[in-house]
Amino acid sequence: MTEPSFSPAKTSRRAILRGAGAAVAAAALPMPFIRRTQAAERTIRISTFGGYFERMFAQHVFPAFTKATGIQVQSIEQPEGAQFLFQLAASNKAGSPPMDICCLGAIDVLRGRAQGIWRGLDKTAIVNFTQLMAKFQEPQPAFDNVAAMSWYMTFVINPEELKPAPDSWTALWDKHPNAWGIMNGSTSQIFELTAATYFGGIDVLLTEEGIDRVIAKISELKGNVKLWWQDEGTMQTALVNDEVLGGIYMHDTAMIMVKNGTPVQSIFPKEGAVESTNFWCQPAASAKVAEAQEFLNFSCTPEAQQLIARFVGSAPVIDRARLNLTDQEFAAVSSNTPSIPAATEARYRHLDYMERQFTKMVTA
Amino acid sequence: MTALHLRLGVLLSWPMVALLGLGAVPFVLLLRISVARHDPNGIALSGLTLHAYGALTEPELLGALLDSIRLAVIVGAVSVGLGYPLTWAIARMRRRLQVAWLVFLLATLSLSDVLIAFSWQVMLSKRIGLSNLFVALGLMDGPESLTPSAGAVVACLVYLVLPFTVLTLFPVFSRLDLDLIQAARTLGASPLRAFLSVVVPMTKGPAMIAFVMAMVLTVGAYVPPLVLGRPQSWPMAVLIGSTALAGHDLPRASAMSVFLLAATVLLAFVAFQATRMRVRNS
Repeated sequence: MTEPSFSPAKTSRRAILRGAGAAVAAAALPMPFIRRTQAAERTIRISTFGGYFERMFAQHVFPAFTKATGIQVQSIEQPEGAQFLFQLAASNKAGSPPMDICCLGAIDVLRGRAQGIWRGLDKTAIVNFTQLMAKFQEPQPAFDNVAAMSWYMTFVINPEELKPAPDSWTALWDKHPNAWGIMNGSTSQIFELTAATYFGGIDVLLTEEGIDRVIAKISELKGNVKLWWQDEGTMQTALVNDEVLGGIYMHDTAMIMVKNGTPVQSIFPKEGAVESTNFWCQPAASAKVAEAQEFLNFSCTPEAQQLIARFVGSAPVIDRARLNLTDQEFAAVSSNTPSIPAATEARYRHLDYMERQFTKMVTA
Repeated sequence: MTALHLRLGVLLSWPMVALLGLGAVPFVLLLRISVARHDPNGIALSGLTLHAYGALTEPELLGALLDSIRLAVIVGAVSVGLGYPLTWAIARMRRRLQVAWLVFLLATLSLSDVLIAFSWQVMLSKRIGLSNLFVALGLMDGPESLTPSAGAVVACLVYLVLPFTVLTLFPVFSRLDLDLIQAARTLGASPLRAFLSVVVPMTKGPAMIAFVMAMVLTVGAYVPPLVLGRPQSWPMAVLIGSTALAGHDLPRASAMSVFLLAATVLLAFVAFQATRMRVRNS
């Protein structure tokens, strides 16, 4: 098996299989003992998605931050899934959030904002914010988050079984009975790629009738889909064992599979791969305002983004021209093909509808 | 005397307290959430509406409930069908072999259902799966993938519940008085007749209990149908999971859970009533 790789933001998926384990972890966030050598020592608690992801941040990214600023980082493993925000909202209200900065998928930023969990940030204090790609600097209703890293959902195939390799998402709809593994449910990027390929972009998903049209198009795929996967492990096993010819899968995990000798190829189709981004947010009740600003400022530097690309395996949120990544290092996490953005706004408004309609379609 | 009783009562009350804390309180919360208004941002424990229960009239969910029950009945029947002769065989083994079998069955309980479901996924795959063995034996023309399929789900679930079935039946089988069979044989009964008229009536009750237990364990099965089954036959538990975790619709997921729970209790009740009647009649 490959090294377990964790792409962020499919968090609820993984939570499903972790089941009770996640719930227990959530109930008792790890609180390693911090040694207080000097009263003046500055510290900050930063949480990221658990497992490989958190280990890589703790081993490679946070030490560079400590070296640059002298601020000690207590790295915390974040519980996954829906319960994370529920618990954070409660602990924030009680005045004791378990971390000073956490890492979130775009939709959880909006959910947290609606509940007033996030502290408004001071843009002038985060001078490196302007180093981010233009799309991550666009004004929002509230300046309470900073882009941390991205990941891509690509067209992953077994190149030995599928020749020639497709260059468009439309190949999913070609005649390939029982060939694909497609992510199941309302959070699946099949929504974005179908909308972008056949409906001129993701805005079609902003209304219920638009969602119905996209789902009708997805339903044409049913004969081609062998596996409607819910967690990435199922799809990985299916790819390793020739159960599927290909499907949609995480680019970073696919690249690790390639490294470990599995014959897979990750393709960025001409319409673009679907890009999801994770963001840093600070719970309002955290008192470490200055330290948080310094960390966010650090995260927006080429140095931090290079470390994240090399060790965490996520795509940088700074233009490639500013980074010293080699072609190979860049290709392992990202691509120059323009991406399809995640339909965060549509999901925030219509997630329950998307889930119901999708389930109806797929179980019919 | 009363003081002793009181002290004993306090000492023995902890299972009740645990049952209340771990069973009743979460259930009350589940009920509460199922009648709360839907809040996409979090758990809004506010409002009072039966809106979520409207979901239960949807044909898809009724279909999923029937799928859950059908799966439970099949797995219950297969695991008792396999477990009954297996337990009989284990009970007649030498002591050491018996212990080895029971330890083996207990050991499989230490594996998580996630691990077991993924192992079945690999075992039924095209590349290294069972079909390769069948090809080598000349039973199949070429290797093929045996998932997703209903058979894969049933096989995996039977593997999961079989230890419970055997461990439920074993005490009865091991205490079975073999002299009774001998007596029946002496009186002229054939081996089959002796088995049917002596062993079966004596083990009917426990077999029914094993069946109901296998069913109840299966009704809530989540990972095996998700990993090994087709969406068309995903049971209720899978839909509850996706409604809560992906759809963030907690009232609807809670209402579905209450419904599934009620159906399970009813199923178990009916099965137990049926056993009682049959045991009384026999």
